[in-house]
Amino acid sequence: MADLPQHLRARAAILRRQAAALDRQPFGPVRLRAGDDTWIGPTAAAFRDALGQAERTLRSAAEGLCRHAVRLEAQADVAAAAAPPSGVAAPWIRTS
Amino acid sequence: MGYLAFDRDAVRLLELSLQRALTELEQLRITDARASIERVQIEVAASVVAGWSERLRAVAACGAMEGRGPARPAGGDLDLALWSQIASATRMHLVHDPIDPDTPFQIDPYLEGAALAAVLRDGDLERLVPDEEVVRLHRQLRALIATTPGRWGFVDRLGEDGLVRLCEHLEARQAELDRQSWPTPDADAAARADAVADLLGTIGAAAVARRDDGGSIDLARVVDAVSPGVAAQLVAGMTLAADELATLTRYVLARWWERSSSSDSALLLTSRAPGDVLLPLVAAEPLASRLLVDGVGDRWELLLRTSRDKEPAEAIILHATDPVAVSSATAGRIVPPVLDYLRTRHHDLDGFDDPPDHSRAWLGSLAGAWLPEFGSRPDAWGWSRKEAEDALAFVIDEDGAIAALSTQLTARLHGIGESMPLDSAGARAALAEVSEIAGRVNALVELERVDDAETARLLSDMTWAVADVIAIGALGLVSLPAGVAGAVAGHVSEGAAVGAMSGLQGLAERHGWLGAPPDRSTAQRDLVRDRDDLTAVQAATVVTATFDALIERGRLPADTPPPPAPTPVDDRSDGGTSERYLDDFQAWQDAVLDSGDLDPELAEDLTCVLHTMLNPAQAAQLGVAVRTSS
Repeated sequence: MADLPQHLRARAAILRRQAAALDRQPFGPVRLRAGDDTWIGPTAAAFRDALGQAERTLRSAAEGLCRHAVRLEAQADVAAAAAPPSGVAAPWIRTS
Repeated sequence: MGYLAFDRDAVRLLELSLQRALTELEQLRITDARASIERVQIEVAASVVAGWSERLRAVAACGAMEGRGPARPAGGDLDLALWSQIASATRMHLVHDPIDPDTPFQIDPYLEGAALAAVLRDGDLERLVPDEEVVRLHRQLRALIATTPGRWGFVDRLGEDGLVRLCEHLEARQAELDRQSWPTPDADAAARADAVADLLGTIGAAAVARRDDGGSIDLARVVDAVSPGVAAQLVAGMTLAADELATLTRYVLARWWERSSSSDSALLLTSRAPGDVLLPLVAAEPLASRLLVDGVGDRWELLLRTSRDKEPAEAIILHATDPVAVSSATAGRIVPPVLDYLRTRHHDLDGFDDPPDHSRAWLGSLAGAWLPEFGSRPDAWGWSRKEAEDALAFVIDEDGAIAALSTQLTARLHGIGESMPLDSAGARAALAEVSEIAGRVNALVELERVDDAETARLLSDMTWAVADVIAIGALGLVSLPAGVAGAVAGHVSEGAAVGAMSGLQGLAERHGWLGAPPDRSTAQRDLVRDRDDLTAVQAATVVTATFDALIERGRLPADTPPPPAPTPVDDRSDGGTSERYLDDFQAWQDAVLDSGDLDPELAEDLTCVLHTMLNPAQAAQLGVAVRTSS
């Protein structure tokens, strides 16, 4: 049942939404507030470095989520192609 | 020690936005089995940033600085004053940074430049920029002005008045350090003074770069407001076009000269005399050199008396009179007045009376580049023959000059052979000029001072070089004056020339004179005699070579008696070898004229040949010299 095309596509959709959320850069507003107008000095620079590292990690995660979504969608296509033609009910599906 | 400037409200807002971002990430619940790696990645990213949340709260509450306390700007700490300035300009709190790294931290370059300028413009420079801070400030400023915003911030905020104030402070420090290094050298003080010079140069570089960026800074006003010594160091740091470098150099040197007493040669004892700072820069650029020489007009003291090291000024004048770049007329406006200045003025320089040897060598190079003007074409420079001869006599007063002149003569000889056929009219004229100047140098030196073996050897080398070319020139007798050349050119063969050369060497070797003069231990009398003998041999060689060539070409009967050879004698109370040779030649010529072997026109030409190398006046001078030394 886990390999049903519609189930696979549902998983892929969730992953895509999560990737999109990461693409919107949750730390974007933080970075905007972390400049010289707010603070200046070694600590400020270290914070910006840490923020940049975190943003790069999130971008990498977003790309990974997208790749998983693509694979799930491909699996769904294969599963759909292997399913019985429409009009022929599977024995475990009630048609009445 | 690092500092942290911050806006407390902004830090609080930063912390809030960080909390919102972390909440957003927490809500992003990734449960898909395939995305386990990504889930971990997101957790790691969130945890890295989350660690800063508490620190941000602490900064906003100043809790992170527990035990450190707010930083208070105090005198003597340029870095703290700078940070205080930044904090003040941005209305921030200033504390010791919690991370406290030792490495310098670059903030926005404009902000840093402006803050640094504000500190230097208004602060107590005695306390903010002690000697030990100069090197660090120089390093910081150099990095800062490498960026456009940095130099804009620094120069614009500092302004012309701030620049002058800073320069005056640095000048006072440098003067004090220079005093510590003199008369007893103090390496530490000297190094500190040099560091100040470096800083001044970098300040100059910042100012000119900002000006070139379109800034409104008035460089002339700054240069005018500071002392000439500081102005020179500022200009030295500037990257300037040749015309501006020449103009500023002339202006600074003139101001320095006016401020200093012309008799106060002690000013030249510092290695930071404006001439020592600026003239090497000008000398490195031929165009700037020419423009500077143009600019000084007749004020040669600005070039020749504003530095301890004379070489740059000499190089500048050589550039300005380089025959490749300037005409004879242009050189004529420079060389005669420079020689005149040196002849009449250099003796009143206390402590600098005698130009060093290289200066004399320089004079040789200066004159050697314009030999015809010293010899056959003095009128080109408005000289009489006597004036040209006096100028040449002044130039060759020292061995160094003779060596340089000899080098120039030899180069000129080679140049003639390489640049044009030896039988061309141009080569004839050029070789005639060279032989004339060689003869003049010989005569002058023999007249003035044939008392030095080294000089005699140099002259010998030069004379033989000339003689060689003339003998080679016997291919067409190209080295002879125009009248002679017209009479006999084209009537000799290459074989005759080879014969002439062989004759030359054989003649010299027979008399044991090739390789003369002797070493320094030889008595002056012998040196004078050798000069006399050598001159006679040289003249006889040319005559013999010409005679051989004329026989070869059938212009003279084969059985014509050969011209005489010089006959050195021990007793020279009645005259020298040269004088006797001239007499012998005249007797021989009279005899062959009487016999009809030699027609009068050819005889006249042969006399011209002889006089190219030895004329009666020269022989008389040699005769006086040998009689005096006997």
